[in-house]
Amino acid sequence: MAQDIHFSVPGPDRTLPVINHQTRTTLHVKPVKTVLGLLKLLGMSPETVLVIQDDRLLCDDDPIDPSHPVEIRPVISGGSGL
Amino acid sequence: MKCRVCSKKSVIKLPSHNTSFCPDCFDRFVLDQVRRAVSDHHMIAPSDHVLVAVSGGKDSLALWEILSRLGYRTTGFHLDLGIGDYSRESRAHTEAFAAKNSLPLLIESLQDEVLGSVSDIARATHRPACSGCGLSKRYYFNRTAQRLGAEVLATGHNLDDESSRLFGNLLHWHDDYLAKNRPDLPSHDGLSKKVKPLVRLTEKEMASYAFLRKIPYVLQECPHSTDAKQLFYKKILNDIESVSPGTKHAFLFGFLDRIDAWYPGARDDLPASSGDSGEATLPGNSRCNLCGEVSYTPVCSFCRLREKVSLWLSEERKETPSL
Repeated sequence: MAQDIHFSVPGPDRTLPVINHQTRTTLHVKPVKTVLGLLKLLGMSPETVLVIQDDRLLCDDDPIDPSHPVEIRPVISGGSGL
Repeated sequence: MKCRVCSKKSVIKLPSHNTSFCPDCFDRFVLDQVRRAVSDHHMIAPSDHVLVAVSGGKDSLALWEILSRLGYRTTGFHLDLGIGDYSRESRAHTEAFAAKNSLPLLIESLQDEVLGSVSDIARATHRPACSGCGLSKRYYFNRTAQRLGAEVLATGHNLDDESSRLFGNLLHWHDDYLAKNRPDLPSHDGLSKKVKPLVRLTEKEMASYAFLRKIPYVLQECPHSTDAKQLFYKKILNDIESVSPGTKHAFLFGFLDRIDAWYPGARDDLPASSGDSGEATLPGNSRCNLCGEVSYTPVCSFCRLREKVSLWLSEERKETPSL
């Protein structure tokens, strides 16, 4: 997994920017075909994030357009429980 | 993937329901789940005034919007916790939502009464920030509901919140808390009725709903929650869920099917907002000697917390006169 992810710095080849506003980070990953492929690459469970591209919510088996950035939005929150 | 109901393109897959939905059908699904929770647990009567505790996060803002769409009379209540940028952003989202939807909103600031933030409370009490935060929220929520005359206090706890809470309480056999691990707690001696209408919906479903309904919410996570145990329990349950969809629902609702048999009478005997344990308690409907709010000890937990923080702050100022 680590070989396919570059923190904030685009690699020499074509990469897919993956934005996370919660952590305020952008990863550049090797383009993948589907949402599930991306989540697998990032080691994330579909139950824990929204995947958004071009202001559209993507389903697990939707294709990813490699020419547009993807937003990963974590959905899990925790704390005092109130 | 196509919507199971109308065959349009789906935007969310729900393995626990063995289905997927387009935006319109998902919207109906969410409203139906809330209606069912409200009905099954007798949460809200049509004439009730509902105080909605709103943090500025996805769940509470979505809950407020859903209850309004379902025709309930609601007032929002936001407690500013004074946690730097996180609280400023949370408050801004809450105020913007209320203004956009023309909904009444009450705001109080923890700093106005405690004279310190949640961070100060954590330092003064040497306890996790979540502990003082939870206690303060319970106090303010109940006091506001009582002052407003709202029949019901609604919070945005979802299925993940409730199942992870159950998981933690079971791991440590916290019987006092297990007896209250339910989405409906009746009013009791000056404590407002508390309900959790999102109990049938997961965090993913609520985040999807907020996104599809274009409800802006605070994306930043509370800086104090990074090592919260609840996050760890949620991760464990989601790992199980990914292998066995529907487990979170079966776990929580299986417990709720048994709770009255396991803890007979607990629903009516236990105070909804009590955070005390293992201390001498006063019988019946007692009031705090300092603030006059309902308390089961001569001085309520919140006033003791306030005194502790005040003492700690004055000692801090002595040590650093420039403050």
